[in-house]
Amino acid sequence: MNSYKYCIQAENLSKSFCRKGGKKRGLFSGFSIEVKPGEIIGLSGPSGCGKTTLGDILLGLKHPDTGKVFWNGNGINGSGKSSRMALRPYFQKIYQDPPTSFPPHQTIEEALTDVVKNKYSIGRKDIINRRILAAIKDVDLDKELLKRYPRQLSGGEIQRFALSRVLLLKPIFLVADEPTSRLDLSVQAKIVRLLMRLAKERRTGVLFISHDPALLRVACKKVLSFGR
Amino acid sequence: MKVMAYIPESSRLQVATGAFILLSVALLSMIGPHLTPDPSTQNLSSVFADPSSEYLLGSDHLGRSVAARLVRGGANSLFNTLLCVIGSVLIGVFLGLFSGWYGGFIDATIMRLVDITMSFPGILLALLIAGLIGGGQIAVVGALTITGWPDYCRITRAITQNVKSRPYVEAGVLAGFSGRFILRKYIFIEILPQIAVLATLGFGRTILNISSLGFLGIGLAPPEPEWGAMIAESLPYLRQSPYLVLAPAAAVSITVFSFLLVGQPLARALKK
Amino acid sequence: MNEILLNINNLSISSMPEHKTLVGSVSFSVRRGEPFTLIGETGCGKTLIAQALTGVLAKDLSATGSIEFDGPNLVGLSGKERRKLWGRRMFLLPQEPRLALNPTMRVIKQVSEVLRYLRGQQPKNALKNAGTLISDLGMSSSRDGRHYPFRLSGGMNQRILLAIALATPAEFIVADEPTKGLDADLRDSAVRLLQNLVEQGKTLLCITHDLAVARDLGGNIAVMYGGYIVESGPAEKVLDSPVHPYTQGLIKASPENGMEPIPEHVLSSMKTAWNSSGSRQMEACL
Repeated sequence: MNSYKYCIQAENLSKSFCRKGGKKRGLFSGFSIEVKPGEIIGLSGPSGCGKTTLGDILLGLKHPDTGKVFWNGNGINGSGKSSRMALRPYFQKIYQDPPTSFPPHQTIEEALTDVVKNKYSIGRKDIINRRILAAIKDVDLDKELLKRYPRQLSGGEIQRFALSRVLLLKPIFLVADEPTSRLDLSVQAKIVRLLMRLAKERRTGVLFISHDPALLRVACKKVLSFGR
Repeated sequence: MKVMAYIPESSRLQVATGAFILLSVALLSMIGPHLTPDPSTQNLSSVFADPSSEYLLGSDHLGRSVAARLVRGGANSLFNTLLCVIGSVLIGVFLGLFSGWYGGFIDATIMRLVDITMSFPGILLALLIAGLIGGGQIAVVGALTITGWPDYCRITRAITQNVKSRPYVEAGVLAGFSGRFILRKYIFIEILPQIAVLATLGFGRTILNISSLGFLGIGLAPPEPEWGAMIAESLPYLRQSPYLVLAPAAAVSITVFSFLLVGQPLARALKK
Repeated sequence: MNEILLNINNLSISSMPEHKTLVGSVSFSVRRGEPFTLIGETGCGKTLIAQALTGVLAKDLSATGSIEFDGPNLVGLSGKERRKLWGRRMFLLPQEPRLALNPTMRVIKQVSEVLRYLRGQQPKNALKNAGTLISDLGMSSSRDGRHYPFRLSGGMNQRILLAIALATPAEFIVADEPTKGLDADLRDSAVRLLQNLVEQGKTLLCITHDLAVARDLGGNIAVMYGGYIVESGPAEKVLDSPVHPYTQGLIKASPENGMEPIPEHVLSSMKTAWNSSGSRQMEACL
């Protein structure tokens, strides 16, 4: 089904930032990573060590000081600008703080509708609805919740909606940046199991960032640890 | 009234009073000029006339109807104020969005422009411009617009920067939304209420500025009435017929005060 | 066996106009000089109990039952009488250390202030003793103590709050989610600091969602779900051989124990049991 061996490859990445006074502080250097479709790779390390920055570099949101990121998928591969443009919506992220992952003044349904409309350029309400309903069924959510605003939902529910938003875009690679660190244990178990199932079914490569080594041991086959 | 829900109960009466006065002033300025005699017609045989059925508020030193001049002046002042505020808001919001969204060099340039503009008192710049191009409506409105936009620009930039850093905006970028879509759907919606409140307070300030300029003789060409200019014209006759000064002064005060009545509780409600 | 310092009996908290029960007849007691941990997930009512205890319940909530603190009942106590307890007999260790400290005051001053006003020490002595308290907690009183809270890390600010707790004459400390948002290393050191409090003879009520914290603190624990205590007893006993299916599920949900979600039928069976039975207290398994 997939013609590519790795959904994302990165070589020799390094990043440092300037602190006050012009001193440079290295976050990481010489970092390489390869993620296969359907594989969950864990990334652990203490807070402030650059885990989130690495995720942002892989997604093209930030630029590395050195090194290259290759995106593969849908028969396109490389690091050029045109392949970037074509693959952009397939490289996705879910966030740490659930309430801010959705715009506060839109219902979840409106937010998801925007995503479908923009991605597939379809305007027909019934087609859009069918897609949204299919996506939220995958994350075990009731369609009644679609009418609510983010503040009316629990953290676990929003995080599952965030997953469904990502699923609507048929992701090749997903960065999960501490997706459960603000959630309860039982909710965390649910979300992580869901993420593991979806990665396997959809052949999505996942970089799972967490500060909890025990969590990563359960969720991932391979864990990279990130020190200072 | 959806807006009323945001205002604390204790200040609802205040806002309603302010809004009522403002509506009355606006209505008088709009329909008044059609009901009163021509404000520029002089009648030198009845100068300083007492209020009567012909001259509702008496007449001035040239025998012109004060009532007619007051409503016509109000129409002029309010219209010019509207132009200034709309101009300032458009420039300010546009540049603020640009500045906050793109950051970097664009941001630095626009913010220096803001600093430069804000270091000039509005009236001083208006005097300067009027000195250069010679007064008139364009000079006044232009000068006050040029000095009025930085407030709107700064608040727009601040909100844009704040919203831009939220995860849902980044999620939108990752989902392939265009910058224009994000600005419209996520950012503009947060800016709108703040700007509306700021503009309400800005209205009051601008009326005061326009009247001050009119008082200093910069503004509309003489026969055309204006509140500030009316005060200046009648000042020599303050002893003899004080209402010639008091009427336009009261009009300015009441209008500015009403804008504050409406604007301040709104601003306070937004800060929470 | 130590004597009982805090005895909560049939405490219920409900929201006022709707009469919705948020915490339903909870009873437990804390012995003097021992830690007690209230454990539960978001919305189980554990924070409400702490609020009822310290008297900061929201205006539209009302508490019934009794909270006996060294004798007198705290439910329905006036603000004036409560003030005699605050800082003097009980101390709340707040959730966000940085927000709880005064940002415009050097931290050593904030510790010495407590010594001056609550223990009546002379300014000079208070400052010296505050320095000792701070250095006892592993910080440098001359360097870190002279900083303002925003210059210190979250963990250091928490130590300052603990120094304040130790400076007060209060014998009873309520810690509300002391490890929230901390990663594993910081969490361990926070727990050690709490243990330190107990060693110094304070009585600790710790409110947390973290099973590891409960295990490390020891003492008695109570597990809450949906406003009720489902299981309580000595920490090791409850955590090693839980009897109630919810506790079992909660322990299995932690990453160390396989991270299995709590089965839906466990949660739904508890809800139906509460709705049908008149006495809604689940059987405590001591």
